[in-house]
Amino acid sequence: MKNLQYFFPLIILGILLSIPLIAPNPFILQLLISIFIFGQVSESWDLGMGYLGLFNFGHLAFFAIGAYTSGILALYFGVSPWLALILSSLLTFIIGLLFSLVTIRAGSFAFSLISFAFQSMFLHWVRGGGGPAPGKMGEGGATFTGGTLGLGAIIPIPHMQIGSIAITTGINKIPAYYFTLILFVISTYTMYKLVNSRFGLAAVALRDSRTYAISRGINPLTYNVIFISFSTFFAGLAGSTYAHLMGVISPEIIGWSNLVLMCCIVEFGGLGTLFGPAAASFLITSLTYFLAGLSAYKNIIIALMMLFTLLLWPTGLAGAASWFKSWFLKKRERFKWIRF
Amino acid sequence: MDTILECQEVSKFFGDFAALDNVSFSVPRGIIFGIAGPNGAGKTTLFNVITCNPFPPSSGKVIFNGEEIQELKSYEIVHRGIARTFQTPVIFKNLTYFKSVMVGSIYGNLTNLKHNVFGFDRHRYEKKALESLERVGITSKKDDFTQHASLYDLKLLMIASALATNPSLLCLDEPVSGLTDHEIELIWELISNIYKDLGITTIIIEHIMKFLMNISDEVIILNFGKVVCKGMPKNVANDEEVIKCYLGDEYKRVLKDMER
Repeated sequence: MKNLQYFFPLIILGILLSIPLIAPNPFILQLLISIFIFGQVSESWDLGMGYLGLFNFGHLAFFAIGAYTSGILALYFGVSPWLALILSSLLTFIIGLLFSLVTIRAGSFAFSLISFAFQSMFLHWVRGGGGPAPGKMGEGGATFTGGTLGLGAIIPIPHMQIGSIAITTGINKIPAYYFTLILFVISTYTMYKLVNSRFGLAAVALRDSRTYAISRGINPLTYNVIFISFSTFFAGLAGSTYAHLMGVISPEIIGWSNLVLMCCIVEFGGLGTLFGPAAASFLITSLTYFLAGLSAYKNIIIALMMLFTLLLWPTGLAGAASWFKSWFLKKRERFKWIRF
Repeated sequence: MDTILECQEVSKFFGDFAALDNVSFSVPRGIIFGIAGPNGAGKTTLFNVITCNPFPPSSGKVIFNGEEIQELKSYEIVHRGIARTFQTPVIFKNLTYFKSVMVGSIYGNLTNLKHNVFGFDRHRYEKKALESLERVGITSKKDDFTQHASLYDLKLLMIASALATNPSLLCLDEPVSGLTDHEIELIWELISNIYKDLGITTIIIEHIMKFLMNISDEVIILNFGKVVCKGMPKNVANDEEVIKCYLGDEYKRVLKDMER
């Protein structure tokens, strides 16, 4: 049974690897690229929200910090996009570390509120005063970030290159597809290892019973800070990838609608399961894409679907999966032909 | 006999209310020490201020192995060698029995983040956790989740995870409350075995006076946050004031039964 834990992930990985060979449809590839990026963001959010029970409202702000830093470094300072990717993720890690070091002491409710304030302040700064007029240059951070127009709107953010192969979302999306897939797999695996390590043990212990965990020698601040800063690191990595792939970042990516959507994805997938949010981001992003023809009704349909799923399985998709698993084991006789 | 734990005029105030009022006592090394008293006497508060979890004392000194510990954080106190259990069973509901004990085994012994990152020897801590599970006799359940465990199992589990932290002082907060007579006997046996085999000084808070008298070498009685009486269990049980405030007149009859 021990090898079985990698069985399904490897099958899924195999399918994902072969998709460009079977169906090199640019729309499908584009959809999967954004699923990988937002899957990574929702997984990293789950690291803090699910495993620590700390609701980091400003998680998308860290995504944006990664994106904007990477874009600014590459656009204005001529830094190589690869170096910008590393530097911006590291910067996000450091900002996340400092941010959590200061705010987690205040307790979990205050942490949520402060992170929400952080998110709003950051959005305001990026927009440059937040006036309704687009492209209001020269105020706040808008000098660097391009205001509401977005960074890279005039001159696009340079994309990454391996030799002569460009990783972009232009016509040939296959390099970009594999690049985001590899990043997604590496970060998912790292997060999986992290939550199953002794650090994950400390985090789960602190979430389940803080007093008991402390009385067994866990320093709450240290392990909370470690988890939050790793979660911001992966968000920054995803943000930086996003910036270089799309070539343009607008403040909308951390706007209210995106924040709620990502939050729903994590809740819908199942808190503290890591694969749940990834699966949910796959489901919801593709539904949004395929139901696009229904315009306004699509949101109603998606919302109803999420509501009913959560009514049936309050722990989200992960709960549904474990329900089906136990149902399957119960009816094993009927499925005898599948050998385990 | 040297002293392992000493409380000097420890007080704890909640607003104007004194939960502990100038409590002073000392625990010699290598004995089983009992704390008893009526409801609301401040017994659990005493444990809370000794382990600083969740609050330190308002005034006074707690000296453990010659070091003042009332200013330390509670996780540092665990690293000094005081492990406690809780009156109401607390669990890590998403962890298995084994993992719950691993929390104590890893984090009770690792004093520094540096040691956690570099040169971590998982095998050593797993061995320690298995050893503790075996000592309380729940090795067979090690892969079960604690969410649906019985009260008895939870009490055993708390003792196991406390033992996994390598304590030199074990504080048990009502280890037998809510259990059946048979289970009380089993826990009594377990505590005496732990004491006999490992020689860990043990402090027990207990309501059931009979249990405490059988097991402990020295007892203090608290009432309204004050020490009413201290000494050998026999002498304490015969003390007039203790009978008046805690045991009740009926207890004299029980005492006679026991002597018979």
